[in-house]
Amino acid sequence: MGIKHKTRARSLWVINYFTACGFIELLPWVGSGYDMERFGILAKGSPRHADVLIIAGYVTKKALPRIKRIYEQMPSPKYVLALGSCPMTGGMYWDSYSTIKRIDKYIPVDVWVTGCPPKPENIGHGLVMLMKKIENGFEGH
Amino acid sequence: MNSEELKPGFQGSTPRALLENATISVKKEELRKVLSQLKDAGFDHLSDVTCVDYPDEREFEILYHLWSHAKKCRKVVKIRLPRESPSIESVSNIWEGAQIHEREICELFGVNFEEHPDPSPLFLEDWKEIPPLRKDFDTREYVKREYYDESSSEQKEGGCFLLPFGPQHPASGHFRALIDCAGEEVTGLMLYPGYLHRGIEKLMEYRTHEQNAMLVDRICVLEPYSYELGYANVAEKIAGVEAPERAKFIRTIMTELGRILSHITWIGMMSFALGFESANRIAWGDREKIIRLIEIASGGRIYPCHFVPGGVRRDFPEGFEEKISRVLNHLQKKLVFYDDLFFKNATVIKRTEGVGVLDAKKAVELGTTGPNLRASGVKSDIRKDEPYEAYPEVDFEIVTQTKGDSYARVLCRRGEIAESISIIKQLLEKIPKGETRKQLPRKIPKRDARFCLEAARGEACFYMVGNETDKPYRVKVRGPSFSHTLMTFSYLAKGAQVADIPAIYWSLDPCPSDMDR
Repeated sequence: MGIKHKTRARSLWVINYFTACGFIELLPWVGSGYDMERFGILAKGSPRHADVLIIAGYVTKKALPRIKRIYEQMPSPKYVLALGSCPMTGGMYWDSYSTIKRIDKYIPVDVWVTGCPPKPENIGHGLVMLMKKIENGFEGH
Repeated sequence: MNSEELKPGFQGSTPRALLENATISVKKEELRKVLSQLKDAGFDHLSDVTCVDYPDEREFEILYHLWSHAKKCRKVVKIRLPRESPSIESVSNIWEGAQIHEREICELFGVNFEEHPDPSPLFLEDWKEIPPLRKDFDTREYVKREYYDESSSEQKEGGCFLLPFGPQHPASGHFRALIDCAGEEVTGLMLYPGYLHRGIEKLMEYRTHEQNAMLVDRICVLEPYSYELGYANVAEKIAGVEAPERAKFIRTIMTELGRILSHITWIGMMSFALGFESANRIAWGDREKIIRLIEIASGGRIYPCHFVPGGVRRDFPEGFEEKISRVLNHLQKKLVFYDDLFFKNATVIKRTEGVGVLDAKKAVELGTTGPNLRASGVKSDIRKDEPYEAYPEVDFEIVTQTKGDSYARVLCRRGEIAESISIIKQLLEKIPKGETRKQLPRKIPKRDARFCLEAARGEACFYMVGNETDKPYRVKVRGPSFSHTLMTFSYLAKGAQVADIPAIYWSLDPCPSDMDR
């Protein structure tokens, strides 16, 4: 695809909002061991600077409106990565009265990474999959 | 060890009957009088307030778990309330720290606490059902109706979204705080937790011991081992079974590794909160070494699911002891490096010294435990006071500091890493051979048991009630971060500078997922 998609794929900025336990396996990516900056991925504090929203783990009913609000504040094109079994199916908390069972009922998700929590390698694989998807012309939301 | 036994030497005018029994049942009118008498008699720490629902008897039982820092013994005060209009006097005028436990019970059980300073909901937003931890609330039926039924309407938007500090803030955990400030000075702090509330206590009532062993891991993501240990021990205590000796050693070694893991993670978090990113990166690198050890021993990196009631799921693999020693030697050398990098760093000292000072009396009053309490000069450590597992076999010091500021808490954790390394080394030399797991009877007998342990963050307690079925009737988890975030942090934040808030917050090392459960 064109230069636009190639450059977009190499400068994914991630919003610094890690909802739950999935964040603990994302943090090795910040450190020197895995080093996400070599892929052009950078953690950002403001949603208005970010391209990627990472749903790291279970989402509670109380957190959902905040996640939606952050998602709405992000400029297009934007991408969503969901980590862990909980945002997909409810996972361990399938019968909990306080968590959301399927996050894609509320916001669109581009890449799912399974695990409880997923290993750093799997998260990296998910991020690279998203980059490939964008390089192949995926326009985001 | 028998903690229930009363040690002699209590002073004061408290009636003897109150002091002699480990468990006291009181009437509603006498509650405040009895509790204040007990407080005067030396039971200065209100460890927890628990509620158990008995719909068949049409009653709620409220339990006040007390601990005396001076005499090192426990006491339980029980009170029964009618289920129709449960109302009881608040004891927050006796222990300030009681108000947060009462607020939780008020929300999750619907018990009214008279004269409570702030009975507003803590965890749930726009909750319209009956309080979720009551027995007649069926979470599976609710979930089916609310989440799996495709015809149900989409969730409605919540309230407004103000974010001075959290839930989306690089230096906060996942909770929201509204900071009221006049210029640079903080005049008030309102905390809104509950973004990670999963209702784990309710879910445990629907699961067997083996299933719950997986669930307790997820209470605190930064330090799962202590919670596994607590659950395994309370289940063994209620069944009257003791784990094999080798299993106890394995559990103690892994829990201490978990403590080092938690403290090293904390170095990373704390330095990140101070804007000191190189220490953060290096700490995450060392954390990875311990995580690999946990993965070798249990198969899981973050959630090991290693301890089960009755023992451990897996024995140590061949040659694992040497691997632990190698990592410990590395960490011991690295600690000297961390001293230069972080603990004696001029910037770190400047940002933390004299910031967030907590004196010993106030710390006990607010329900602070663990390293945060020891940094204020109180020599209290459940590993020493009520030794459990293999701790009677080892020799270690309780690390204390005197100043009670953020820097004292930093130094306290540094000392604990060194002590934990020495504990594991002693245990590795003494570890016996033999079996590692005993089968527990399937049915949980109709009685209650409570077990407290020293987690990396402080006192973690499990209270379990059985009902002759294979699932617990009620489990209450007391996590240390609950008091630390909601009481200690909001106390310390008042009057501080806005720029010091992250330093104070992370010096307490709270874990939001443990706070919310």
